[in-house]
Amino acid sequence: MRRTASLLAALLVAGCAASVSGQPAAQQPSRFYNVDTERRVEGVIREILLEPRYEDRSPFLILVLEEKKTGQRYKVELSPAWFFDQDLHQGEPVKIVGSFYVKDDNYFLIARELQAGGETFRLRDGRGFPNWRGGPMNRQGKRRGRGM
Amino acid sequence: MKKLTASVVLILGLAAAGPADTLNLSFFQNATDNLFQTRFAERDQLSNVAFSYDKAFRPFSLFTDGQYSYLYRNSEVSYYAQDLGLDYLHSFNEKTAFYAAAKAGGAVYRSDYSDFNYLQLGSVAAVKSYLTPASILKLNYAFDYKSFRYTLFDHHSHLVNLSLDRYFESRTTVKAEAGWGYKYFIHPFLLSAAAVEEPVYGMSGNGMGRGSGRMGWRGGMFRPDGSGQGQGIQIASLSGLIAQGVGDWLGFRVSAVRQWTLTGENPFSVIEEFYQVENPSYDLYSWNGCGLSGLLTIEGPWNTQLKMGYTKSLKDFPGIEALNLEGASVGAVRQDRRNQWDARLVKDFSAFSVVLGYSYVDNHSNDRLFDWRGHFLTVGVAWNLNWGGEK
Repeated sequence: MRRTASLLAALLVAGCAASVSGQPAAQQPSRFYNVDTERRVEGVIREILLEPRYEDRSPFLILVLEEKKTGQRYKVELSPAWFFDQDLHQGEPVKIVGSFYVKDDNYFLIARELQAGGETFRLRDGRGFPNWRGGPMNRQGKRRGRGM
Repeated sequence: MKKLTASVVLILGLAAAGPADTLNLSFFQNATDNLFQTRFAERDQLSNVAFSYDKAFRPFSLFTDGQYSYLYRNSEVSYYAQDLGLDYLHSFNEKTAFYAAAKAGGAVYRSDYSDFNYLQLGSVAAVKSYLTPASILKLNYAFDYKSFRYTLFDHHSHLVNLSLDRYFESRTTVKAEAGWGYKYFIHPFLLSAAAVEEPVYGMSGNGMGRGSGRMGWRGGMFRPDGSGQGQGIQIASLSGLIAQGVGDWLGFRVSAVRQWTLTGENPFSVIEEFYQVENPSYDLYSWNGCGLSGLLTIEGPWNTQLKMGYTKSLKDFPGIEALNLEGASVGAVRQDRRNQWDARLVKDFSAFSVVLGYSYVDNHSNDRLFDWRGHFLTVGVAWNLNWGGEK
């Protein structure tokens, strides 16, 4: 009991220490989520890419989305490790709510909400902060109710 | 209640400790009329306070989770669980990504359950690759080691899953998955050692000679005919899934699984599941059989999502003898047939979500103690806090 408690306490302290001593974000992402530029785009996934969006960062899942009404193509930035458990495919119709920006004449969206397969995935909260939490390991072992 | 308050203070303290990339706090209140999931139902309520914290340390990210659960009527089963780990994501090219993670953790229970205090080491490695734009291959490996205060439960396990899916223009996704797992109990099950060391737990006496009370254990946890060797259980499984989207607001999926026990069997005398309290006698390795489930997802107005599911399962527990209520063998391996209905409603607000969940389970077993029904209700709120984190 004492051994387990001590080690758990050590884990907790380590977690706190990590949060205190965490390096400041030296390299800010090139784009922040801006709720004022949000737009809703309905289209079809034409291509799926895994690529780092920010220097030294984990790869993001990027969708090349063709808008249904206009044929305009957007590069949609979804999330990092979250995509390991969510499977999207070329040809799937989706609706995206996201922060829009233009760079080098290309249209980009940082996705906040993704509607696909009759389900809505909220990748960011209403203020644009990430909702995703790591990959498969990170979501194991949560005991918050029976069932789904 | 003091512990609950202390946990809240602890969590808020951690939240204030420094800028976080992602911090989630949650409070869930659960109620059930059958905590120990036997025919002698016992009501209880559980309060669950949890935090989850992620921070990027390029190219890794650190995560830690803490959770305190307090049981009102069976407060001596209350527990705190904590883990801490790192994960790593790397893309080999535009179509293939690799994920790896390692964590250490553990759980501390109060007196009635303290023999199940454990320390855990775990790791996961996974590869996801788009074979074609409409087809995904995933390979996942998970390692787990647990060291319990009651050392006979100490084990390590290895689980491998391989899945392949295909998306069709009809908005249908078909997925097939194969799994293999091995769990090894590290310490040999020596009859003399088990007889001497096995703890004796209070039986509250409503089990008609089969002790189905507080912890439900009946006359020891390990079989007296232990083989004298460390014991491994090897399983294999096949599963399939069909998912279909209908319009923007409706999706459903049907899945089926078949699992076999290739070698070994449960070394216990009884397998038990408790609501929201982990029991080391029950896990993926303790059964073989099949299951069929359906899930309907409805996207409602005002950022609401309703999920309704049904699962039917038929499970045999190899090595576990089915007993009658007097404790005599019925001459068969325990077999459970279960019907489970679930509903979950989530309403998302700008920075938090409210969850309402309900489940009903109807479990039929040839072991009469485990012929039970139960209602399970969950109400909760989860906050997504970002203290100076990046958008």
